Amino acid sequence: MSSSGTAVQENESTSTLDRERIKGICEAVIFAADKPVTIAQLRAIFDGEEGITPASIQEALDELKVDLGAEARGLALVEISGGFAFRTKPDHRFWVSRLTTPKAVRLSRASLETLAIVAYRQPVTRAGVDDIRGVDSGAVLKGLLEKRVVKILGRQEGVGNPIIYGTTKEFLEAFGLKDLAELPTLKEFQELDDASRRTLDAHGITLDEPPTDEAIAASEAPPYDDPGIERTGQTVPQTDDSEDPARQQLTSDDEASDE
Amino acid sequence: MSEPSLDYKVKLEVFEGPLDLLLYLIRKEEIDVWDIPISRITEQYLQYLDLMRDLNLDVAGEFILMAATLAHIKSKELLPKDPNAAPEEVEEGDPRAELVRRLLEYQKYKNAAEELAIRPLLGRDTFGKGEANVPDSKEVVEGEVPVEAPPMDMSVFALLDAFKRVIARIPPEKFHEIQGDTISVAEKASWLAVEIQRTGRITFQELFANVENQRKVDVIATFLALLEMVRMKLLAVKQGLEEGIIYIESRIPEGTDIESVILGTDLEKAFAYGISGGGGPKKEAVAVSVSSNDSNGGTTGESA
Repeated sequence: MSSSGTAVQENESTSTLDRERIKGICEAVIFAADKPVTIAQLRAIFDGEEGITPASIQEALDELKVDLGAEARGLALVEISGGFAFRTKPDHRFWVSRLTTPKAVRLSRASLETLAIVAYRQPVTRAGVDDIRGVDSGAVLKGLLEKRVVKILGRQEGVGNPIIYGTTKEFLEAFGLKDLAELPTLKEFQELDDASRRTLDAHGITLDEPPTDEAIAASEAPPYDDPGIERTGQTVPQTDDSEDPARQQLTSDDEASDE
Repeated sequence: MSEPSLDYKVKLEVFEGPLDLLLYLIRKEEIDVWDIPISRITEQYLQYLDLMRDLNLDVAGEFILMAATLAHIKSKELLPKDPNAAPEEVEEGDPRAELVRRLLEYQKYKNAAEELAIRPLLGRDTFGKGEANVPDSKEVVEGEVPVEAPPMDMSVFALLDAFKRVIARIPPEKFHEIQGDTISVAEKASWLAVEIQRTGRITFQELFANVENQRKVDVIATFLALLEMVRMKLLAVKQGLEEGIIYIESRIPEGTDIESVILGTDLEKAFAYGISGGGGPKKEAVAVSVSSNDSNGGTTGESA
């Protein structure tokens, strides 16, 4: 907090930060943060200031959004995986990318399909994905794990203890989603979700409620860190969604860890 | 056995699977998904399967399994209804129901995938702080950095359809011209790479303009090279607005030593371009062992 004269001193102790100040502070904090900032975190920053509630912060953020909506502004305030962050507006894509080389996650059609299935049906097993796609999705899933948009949530109890997959925080960030609920509605999705949930219950599976952000944040483990896979050099060329060795590797890995 | 052999197989299911083929046929034939004429669709499905085998495509087990499923449904339909059957048995239902359920279910996720695809993507359409790496030099990235359409912006089966028409133009005597050598898809690929790098973009029709004078196996090898390079994201294929025109565009990054890419010696480096952030394995695009076989002399040429 700086320099608008002596009144500020007083303000800081008794808290009568006006709306404009709150807005500016939020903007500064979100800019400086290295990841999306939640309302709760913003609230904590204002700790000791009276009258600053999550609602008033939300209000300030809403105003900030409107301000930034002006055509002359290059940034947008967006809600991503539960917090607020600045992102360049897609309109400026061309210019910004002249500064850089694209490093977006590149996903083939097969990868996108698989990702969509995991996103909507999580927790889901590879067999669950295969059933819907009608083709073996092992290699594609492996690719998604490596791109860190999908992670292993655990193992389903029951025959073979298959691995169950879910999406990551990186997935939300890549696609600019606030949370999984923000995914476009899938017809009958709710039913399916309930169904898979019942299945889980029936199998007594315990896992961190995957579709919540808390659960995602809580899982510190890298999405996929199996040392046996990949990069060991002994495998045949790295492959896209296809090559058998990769697939077999994943399979055999599944089996190996089943024991 | 005596035909020149292709050294190499392309996996079609990387692009699309049996359910995609059925959905493609349903759309193409304007079939009501709730009332699929199983005989007709089975017949068509099998034609594509034959074509894939003809092209030396590696037809995945899933495609065969679906053919069996279709045949099974067909046979059930052909069974005469037992007039004396109890009502419950008749109620057993339409043998197509399960297939329809799967198709609709799959279609739902295909749509969802498309919705994901059109969202602004971090690192491509929108950037967070620190997301854009400022290059050390003062230069900006040269030229346009277009938003890339997927490398295969049309159904692979539509591409097969187009190729079927190409094959049909080859005079019969060219079908069995024997030279006894192995046809290298990799060779065709590097030719194709040079050709497209020179012109930037050609049409499918131009690519196969002269098939009348070529051996069938050469034409097929060119097609396989095309498919493989699309898979490696070196080329992009899309349907033009004009009826039947298919464009093939280069996606080969500036300065790529295409030979080394094609010959599979330097895949990793060649694909370091823009695949994924954070230096993770360059999984997505490092597609193939394109010719790790044929380049090391282990040709699969049939010894007649």
